[in-house]
Amino acid sequence: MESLKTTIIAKNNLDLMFDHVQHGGIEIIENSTPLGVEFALHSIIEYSRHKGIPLIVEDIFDTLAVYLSHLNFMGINFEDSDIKVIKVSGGQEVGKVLARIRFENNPYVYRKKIDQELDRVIPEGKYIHLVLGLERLISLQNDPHTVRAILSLMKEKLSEERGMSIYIIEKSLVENLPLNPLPLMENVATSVIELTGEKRELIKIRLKKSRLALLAHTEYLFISPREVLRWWG
Amino acid sequence: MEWKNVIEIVESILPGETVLVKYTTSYIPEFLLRFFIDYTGEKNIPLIIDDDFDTLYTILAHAKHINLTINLDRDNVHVLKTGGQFEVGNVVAKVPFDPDSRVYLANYAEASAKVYQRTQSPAINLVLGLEELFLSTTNPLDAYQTVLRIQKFVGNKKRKSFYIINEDVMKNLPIKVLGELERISTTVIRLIPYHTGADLKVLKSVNPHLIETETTIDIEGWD
Repeated sequence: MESLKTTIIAKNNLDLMFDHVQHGGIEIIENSTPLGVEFALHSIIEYSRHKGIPLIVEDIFDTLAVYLSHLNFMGINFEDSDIKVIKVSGGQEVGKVLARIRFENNPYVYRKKIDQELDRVIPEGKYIHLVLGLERLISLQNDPHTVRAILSLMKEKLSEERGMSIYIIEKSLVENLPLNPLPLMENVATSVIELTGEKRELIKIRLKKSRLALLAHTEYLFISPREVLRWWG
Repeated sequence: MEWKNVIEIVESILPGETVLVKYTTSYIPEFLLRFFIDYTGEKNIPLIIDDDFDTLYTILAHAKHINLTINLDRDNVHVLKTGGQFEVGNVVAKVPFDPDSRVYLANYAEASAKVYQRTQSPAINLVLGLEELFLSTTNPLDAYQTVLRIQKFVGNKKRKSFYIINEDVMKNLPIKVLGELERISTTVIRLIPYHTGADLKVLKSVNPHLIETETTIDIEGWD
């Protein structure tokens, strides 16, 4: 892990970082920085393309479209085939939509449908399952029943070795809810990283609960989207 | 891993005490579980783990991810399980969760009494996942019934209890009971994580020698 001791992460190290979490399990990426989600999403798409691991986005209430349109302004476009999508309600279709399911008041029914679609879309081999827009669902159904369902379904995914689940959460959208599920979700997740700030075009990553922090003996990493993803290039 | 200072603290805890161990998001529960298993195994003290809502299973999955060895399969380790679906370790009693706290707590009291009857005193009792019990109690009265039940265990010399609680979780639940848990506890310990360890501080203790004790647990060279 010598190469990760530098706190500024270059492109090949970003792959290394993902390789480290690519053991199944659940990763939460919390964002509290202006372009953090765009950065995380772009990195995940690049990694999936580069490694040939299919990416399936669970796109709740049109959240994917938000970030793709921002990236588009920055001159970054993707082929629809790069992003396979399971739409959960909403009508703004981006990426390659493989399935549409309706928003369900019963979170267990909802999750069962998602799992069925995941099994259908990727019957075998590795995959990355990215959940976007969970904040919207939690804001609309801010009750213990929904949170319990999210937690128990996360627990069921803990031993999934084939695929990794990534939840990207905009922290400011959940932390003031009467029931903020984020700390509970952090407890269940295998790893938690937080995008905490931008400093002269660098994104600061806090390894809040991460194997990488133990191995690299560091809590913070810096990464330059300009260098790694050729933003503003 | 160097646990000498922690062992001294644990040994200063008196039978009957209820110890609240507060932490924030990290692998602290994983390393604490490992510590308690090693410690009780070496001293041959019974370890009774309250596993609420599959927390033990979750901890074992995380431990595997970071290559931390945790072996629950020991004669002195007993698991008292509430809710959940993944059984790990030697489950000696299962208490189904009931949203009516009176029903649940009565069932729990009965099951736990049987477990403690069979084990040598004082056992060490490690409580994992209590936060989710409070998530599942949806009105303040139910939450307080649970607090009162925990309170009744204070002074029960059959065990020394350690409640491992994520304080951010407790602060973000609709019903706030962390303050009550701190009040009824005889010792309150706070753990603040850093990338390869945690800083420990005793915030409250009935034992004057322990008050404001501070130490650092570094997990350098874990396996």
